[in-house]
Amino acid sequence: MEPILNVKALRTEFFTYAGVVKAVRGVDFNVYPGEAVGIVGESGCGKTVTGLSIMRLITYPPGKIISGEINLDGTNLLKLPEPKMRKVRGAKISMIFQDPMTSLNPALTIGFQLSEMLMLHKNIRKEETKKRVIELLDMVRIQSPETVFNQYPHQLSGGMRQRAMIALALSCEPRIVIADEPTTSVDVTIQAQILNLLYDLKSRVNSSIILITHNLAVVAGLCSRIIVMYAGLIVEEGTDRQIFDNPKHPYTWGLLRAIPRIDEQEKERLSTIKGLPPDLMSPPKGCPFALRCSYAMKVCFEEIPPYFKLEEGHRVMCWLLDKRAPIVKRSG
Amino acid sequence: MGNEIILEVQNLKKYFSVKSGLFASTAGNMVKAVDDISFKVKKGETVGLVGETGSGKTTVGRTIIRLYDPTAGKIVFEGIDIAKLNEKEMKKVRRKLQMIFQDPYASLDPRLTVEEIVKEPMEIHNLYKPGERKQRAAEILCLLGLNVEHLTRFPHEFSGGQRQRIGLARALAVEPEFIVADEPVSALDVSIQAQIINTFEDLQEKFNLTYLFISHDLAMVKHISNSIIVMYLGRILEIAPSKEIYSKPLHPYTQALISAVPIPDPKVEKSRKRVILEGDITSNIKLPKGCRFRPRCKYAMDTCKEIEPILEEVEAGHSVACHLYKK
Repeated sequence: MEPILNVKALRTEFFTYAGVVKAVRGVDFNVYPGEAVGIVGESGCGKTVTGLSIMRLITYPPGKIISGEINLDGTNLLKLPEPKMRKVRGAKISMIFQDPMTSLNPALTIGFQLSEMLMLHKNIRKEETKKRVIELLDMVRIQSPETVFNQYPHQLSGGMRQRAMIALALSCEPRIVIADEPTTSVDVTIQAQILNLLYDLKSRVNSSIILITHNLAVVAGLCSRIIVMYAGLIVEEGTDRQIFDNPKHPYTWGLLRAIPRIDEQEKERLSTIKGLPPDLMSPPKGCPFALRCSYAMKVCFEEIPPYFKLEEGHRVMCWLLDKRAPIVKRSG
Repeated sequence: MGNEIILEVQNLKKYFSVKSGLFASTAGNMVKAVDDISFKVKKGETVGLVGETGSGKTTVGRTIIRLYDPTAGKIVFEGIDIAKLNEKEMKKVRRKLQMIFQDPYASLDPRLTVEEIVKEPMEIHNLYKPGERKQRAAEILCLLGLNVEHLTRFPHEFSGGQRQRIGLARALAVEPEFIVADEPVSALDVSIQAQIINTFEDLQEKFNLTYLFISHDLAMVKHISNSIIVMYLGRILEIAPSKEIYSKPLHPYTQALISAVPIPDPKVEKSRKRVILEGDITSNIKLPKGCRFRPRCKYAMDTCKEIEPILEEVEAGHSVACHLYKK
């Protein structure tokens, strides 16, 4: 199957007074039609910047996409002039932002913001848009959509706002939806509603989803493929089973063991990943995780490891998989 | 862990008046943020307080340390009812009763250095000789995994996890016995959350601290707590030992909360049956008659419309407020 989105050697940097922050340092991945891909990692590992780069929402100055390709259905988005890109944004790729309070316009009604999208991209006559908008609000399970149509963002609860954001992102039935931490600012019950909603929509509209989150538990139910990012690089990629049942990168081990499980029988001490991610203004010469890794070898500080391919679709950037490296067992 | 009760909350109520407009009456419209709750905390244990936004869990925490004055009820701390103490008497108690706040960015004064932040509570409570305080501040920081050089820095120079450690250092400076932790890790990354939680556990062991741990993250609360209190719209719906909260949740609301928590395992997660709670938490200005959870409950019966269930013990240490469990 042909991928719908192909990201190739993407590099995004921010030119600040203090220096150049290399936020994304060469990222390649594919997204296939109808699949959900999770991108996980700690704050500052480049997951949001990757999402924004795909949308071409990096503003210069200070940010700039240095090199790479973002191919959507065979068109390289990085080569498109801005007016053409505007036709793509929202219609073919859309984004659900983390904070629905700041990403909806507080001065416009929910109805207006949704109608605007439809009129812009779908050439729907003004009279018909209202009907369509109400259908959309109903689809994301907003109760009494007619009332919400005329309401402003501040009149809605956090969960409702997030659902309105999702309706906005899906209004033009895009091929790809990028959801950036869509559930971080809401309660668990609302989180479950939103994840369920995304799951439904994936099956109904057949859009592909890129779910960006720091919580591996959130991707477990929704995504079939998982990308683990660290310090602007993809350090491991695999199917959900490969990542959860047979993870190979020590960073993935750390992420998995740091979350308490509600179904744990006996209480175990949480394991932590000591230290902090490296400063991306001067990233380390070797493996970016070496400083925090309990298995680091000499080579790890010298050279960035290549990708070692394991089973189909499972790749890991770690020297431990070299045949000369000692065999280590995942602890915990 | 002894059996000594360090804190007992009896029929605690905290109402806020809703004033909208200049001449609005303050009599009728009250937000019943905490509406008649009672529970006990044993010395050296951790009690978790969970619920959705708007359930009143933060108000409970703030009322216990008397940041809010309770509308009614008793807060018995080490045998003394602190609900009606005046500011001067309360100051003595506050040394033993400290709080850690949710937002590590907003809860530290940006114009004070870490040294000043950690020393301030010692000055207020007149602990240690002035010359010894700096040494003491340094000791606490080291205990929390920070170091002496950090004393001269300002809060903005630290990451979220480090700031939460500074907040913890400030609370520990006065050698408290009871700490109310209001969502102390919600604003942090998962890997940093684990670090802070482990620190909490170490400190508890070292100083025999008692925690009231407020959070909406059930998995985390279950991990750290001995028993769990589930709140909804100002009321307690269930109190259970944390071992039973997952294996035997009784209240339909607890069941829904548990089922909403994602499990980091695709095998389990993709085959699990979810109880999805529709809608949001209702407003606690206009409370429904009868059980507060009824509008969202799939087991609602006729009695639920009329009579509000009271919290009753069904097994040792496990209480629930639901008509389904009435004998």
